[in-house]
Amino acid sequence: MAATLKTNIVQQAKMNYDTLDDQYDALYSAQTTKGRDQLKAMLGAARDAYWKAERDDLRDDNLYVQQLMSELKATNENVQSAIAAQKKAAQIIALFAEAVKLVAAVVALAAV
Amino acid sequence: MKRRKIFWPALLLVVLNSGCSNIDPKDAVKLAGSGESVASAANLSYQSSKDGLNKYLEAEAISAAFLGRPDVGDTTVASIMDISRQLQTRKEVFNQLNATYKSFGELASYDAAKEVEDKINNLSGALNEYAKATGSTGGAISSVTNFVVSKGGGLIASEAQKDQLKEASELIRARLLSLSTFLANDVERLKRYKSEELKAKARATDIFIGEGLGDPAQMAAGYLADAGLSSSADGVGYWSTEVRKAYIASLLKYRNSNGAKPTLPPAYDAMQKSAAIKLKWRMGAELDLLGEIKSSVDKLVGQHVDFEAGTPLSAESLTQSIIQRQELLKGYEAAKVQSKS
Repeated sequence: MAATLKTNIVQQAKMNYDTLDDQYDALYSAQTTKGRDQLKAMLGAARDAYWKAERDDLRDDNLYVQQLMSELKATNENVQSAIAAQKKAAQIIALFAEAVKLVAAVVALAAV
Repeated sequence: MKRRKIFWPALLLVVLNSGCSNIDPKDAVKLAGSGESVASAANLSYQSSKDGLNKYLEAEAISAAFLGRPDVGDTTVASIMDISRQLQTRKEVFNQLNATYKSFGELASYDAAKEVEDKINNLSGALNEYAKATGSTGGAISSVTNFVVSKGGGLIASEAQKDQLKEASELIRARLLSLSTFLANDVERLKRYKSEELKAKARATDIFIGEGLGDPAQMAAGYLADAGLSSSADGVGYWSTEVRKAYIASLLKYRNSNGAKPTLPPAYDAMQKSAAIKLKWRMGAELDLLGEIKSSVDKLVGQHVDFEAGTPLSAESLTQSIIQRQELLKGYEAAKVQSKS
């Protein structure tokens, strides 16, 4: 059970980091200076969360973690759909921002 | 009458131990050889994964400087340093496995029971350390305390040796089973690290080629050589120097004037694509090797079972595919060194 939780979290964290990393250059070029700084901080946070997920012992499968995991999966799916539908950069960035926050929260709360 | 009294207990012991009579010490040497190959291949893979994490950090720092990407923060560096320490602990398991197999092979040639016991205990310690470092659940592997004294007295030398080989094989097999469980998770983990390394390295390589670094003449010469057209008289050196000079000059001008970014010359575009393919190929070989290690450890377990049952080990080496993949990687390294020189 613990191994499954860790595997699921790492999977979602990696999906979030890799997708943002992949979309970064296109989103960056469409932003103003302020938007670029935010985007840069967001990619840094996604990277931090992913490597923390790889390192930490993620076993605390409490109800709150389970709820956040469902939200994270849904948000990651929404990100993929928004990219596929070529939605506006601002919409895609807003979804990424939500996903990055969720990943960071799940990793912090599931760590024992 | 007196002679009979001495003879009977010895005969009884030989009969009681007849289960080991089929064990062939030559098979122990073969098994030890396979075990050593698997352990060294795994050790190299873990070292490569550990080095890959450093390369990842360096490549990310390069992207930050050139592409407006985020600097590598302390959190990522700290996580990666901890992961790197975990990989070091795992490497130690394979060092100890290698030493254990070496002593197992020696046991087939002379009385190396004490060495085998020490090495098996070192291996148990390394496995327990790894379980601790990675927060793995499951019981600790206990030490062996009576391997040396449990065999011997009364048995004829060759039977005692077979008995010791069988017991050592059982002890090693139990530890391989725990290792196999750890490896199931590890292989997937190392594959993820490799994918991050590949992504970051490919981007950093692209950056430098995009800056006009790298020699297009080298790539062109490879194709022209077969037609006998790669000498300096054919203009390869001149062409590459001029293309590079013109491109770097336009790039510097762009940096100073904020004008339009110059288009990458076709020669550099081709170099970027060729470098990306080489990187992917290399990573593919490393990923195959990782997958092969887990299945080789499982096959080793099977060979121990056969050995303990006295079934002759097959001539085909289970490590053949590992060796082939290592050769591929060595070939790649050699090509890289040659290309540098």
